Amino acid sequence: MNKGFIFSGDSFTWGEGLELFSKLPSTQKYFIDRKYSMEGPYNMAWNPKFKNSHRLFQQKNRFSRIVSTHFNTWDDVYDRNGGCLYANLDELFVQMERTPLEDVYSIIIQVTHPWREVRIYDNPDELDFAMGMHPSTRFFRHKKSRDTGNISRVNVLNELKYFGSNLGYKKYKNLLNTNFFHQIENSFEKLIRFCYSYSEYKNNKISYQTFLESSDMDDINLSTADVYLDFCMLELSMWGNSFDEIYKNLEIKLCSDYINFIIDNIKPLCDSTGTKIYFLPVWNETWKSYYNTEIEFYKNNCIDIIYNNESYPSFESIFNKFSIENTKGYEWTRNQHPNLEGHKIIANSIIKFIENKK
Amino acid sequence: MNKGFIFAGDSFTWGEGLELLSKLPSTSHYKEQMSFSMEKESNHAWSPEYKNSHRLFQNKHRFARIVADHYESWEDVYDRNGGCPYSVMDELFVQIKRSPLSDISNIIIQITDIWRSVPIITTPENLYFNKISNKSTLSNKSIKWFDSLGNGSGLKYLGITEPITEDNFQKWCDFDFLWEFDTLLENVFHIGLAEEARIKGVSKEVYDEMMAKCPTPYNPIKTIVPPFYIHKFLLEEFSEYGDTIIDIHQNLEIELCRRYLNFIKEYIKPEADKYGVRISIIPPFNDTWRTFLKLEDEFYMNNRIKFYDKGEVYESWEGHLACTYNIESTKGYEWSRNMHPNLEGHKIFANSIIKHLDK
Repeated sequence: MNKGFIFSGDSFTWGEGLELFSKLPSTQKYFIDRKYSMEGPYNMAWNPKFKNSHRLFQQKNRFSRIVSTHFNTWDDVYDRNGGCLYANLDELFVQMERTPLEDVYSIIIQVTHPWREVRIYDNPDELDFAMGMHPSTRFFRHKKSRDTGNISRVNVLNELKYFGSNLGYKKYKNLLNTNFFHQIENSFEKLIRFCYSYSEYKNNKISYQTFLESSDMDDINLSTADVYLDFCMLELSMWGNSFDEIYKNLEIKLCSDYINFIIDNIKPLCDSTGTKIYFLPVWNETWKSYYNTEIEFYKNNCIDIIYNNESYPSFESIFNKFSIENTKGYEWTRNQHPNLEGHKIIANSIIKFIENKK
Repeated sequence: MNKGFIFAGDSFTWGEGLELLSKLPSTSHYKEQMSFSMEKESNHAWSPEYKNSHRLFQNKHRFARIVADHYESWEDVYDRNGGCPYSVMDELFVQIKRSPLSDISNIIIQITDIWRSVPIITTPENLYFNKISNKSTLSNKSIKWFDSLGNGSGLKYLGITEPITEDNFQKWCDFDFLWEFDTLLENVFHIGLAEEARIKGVSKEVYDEMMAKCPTPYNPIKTIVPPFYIHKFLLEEFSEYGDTIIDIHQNLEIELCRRYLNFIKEYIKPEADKYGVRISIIPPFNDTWRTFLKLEDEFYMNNRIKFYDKGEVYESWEGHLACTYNIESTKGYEWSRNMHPNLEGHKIFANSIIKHLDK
């Protein structure tokens, strides 16, 4: 195969943690300190504290290289660790510009957790009043609207619409600021989970202590909690009659928006050069929601994880065997990324899928 | 092998031209236009005109990756196309910093043309690593010595009125006359050789032809320093190296090779020794490999990589191997005029390195 691959994804695709298996002397400090983290300043591929030897070992052993080596070709992976759905697509646009699609056999999109960076309060300076924004608009706007500062400089013709009613934003516009939702990390996912626990507490189904523990909080002002609850109901009640239902339905909506964004903005470019798009399912239980979008394009191009001749819908199913923290001697890392064997399993699953498609 | 490789070199190590053999659709315009050049802006690995797919194809097929794959390891190659001996060292210092030597098993240094970037008034290593201008290097490294290749007595013919020192050399580097030659000593030698031939009585035709070979546009009438003085400059400035321009050039080449090996021994080898990293050397791709051999330097002799092809052993890529395995020697690629190894050539490089390392 002379054409190559573009791989797009988060820390799984980047190969986080693989250097721990390198036995390179410069990684010994992790074992001595029994401490490893890529959080904070380490989260960037080019942080000077992260050695190039680690990076090169990762590149050699991550699933993208194993796949491209199998097909005797090359792989383009964006040199950044992590990312949310649309940050990854922003990077993918950069990859498509630097590596022309006419040279690319297939783009493998590793789907990440749909709730990442789904923020309640975003870009406050840009709006006359606070209102809900779709997570994609942090990166992609209509070309007439303001520059989002994305790395690809790509704008979209049709912005994805915010999924809520905006009734909550209107009612509480005098209260809302960047700090108001800090106890739930400004996250819609945490807001819904919080409201679920809080309503359970209010209905005397759980104790105050259990409510705090399940919300990962030490304490909260109950009048603030009431605003959170009312805000959430006003914004999201069209998604269900219970917080459970809201969570479930909104998750499917987020997955569906993402896949449709790809269908609208990436697929036409790929179609013009005959480049295939395949999906590697998300590594957690949200794979079900992607599946439940019922979008044929996703279902037809979704790669199953094959292990011991069995098909699994996600790496989640074999997580307990092949993640770094589940590797003997590596429990202390608390790192939930695939180990060397895990990358091989993912690679072989991709290879099998491509060979079957050919 | 868990430890990796550092490869340091010029466009040969970078893999220039390999993408021409990729059959990637985005390379077809080269073939259609029968034109390929990496000069000027495209000379940089990250030029926007140079596509990432080309780069990735190169990475996959250049000798560095083939060697690393053979040992189930990885390779660090600096992402720039080309370079002179000391810019390659500058990049190597960066590589050593980013890929700690504790993680490295081998450094492979591919020596480039020793005359590249040799300045007129100082030494090539001082051009990169002197204490004053070192901020312009990638590595910010400075070296212990500052000296010149010449004895200083010929500088007056160039209009330089004081001895060159670490403090004033930057000022004289900007002197107009030096820029007529791109500040390169090699270009000055072109004029010196032509002038010497004229003095010896060659025809005007031969003289003009020799002058025309000077890589920079040089007008002997309009120049600040006429050819006669350039000849005088070379004879007096480098009188320790011989009595004729040809002798001086040859002996200066030996000095340049000696200095380069000493630089590696002084600044790379001690660090490598600390971590048990082996240094191996790929001889230059042109006829200057003979000069390196002439030195009979023990470090070079013991660590140089010989080329193996079809049962024959070669001291350099120059000659038979280049004629057989360069891109421009590949059937259908004559138009490229590209004098870098083709896919097969890179395999020969890689197998020769592997053979050397396995000894």
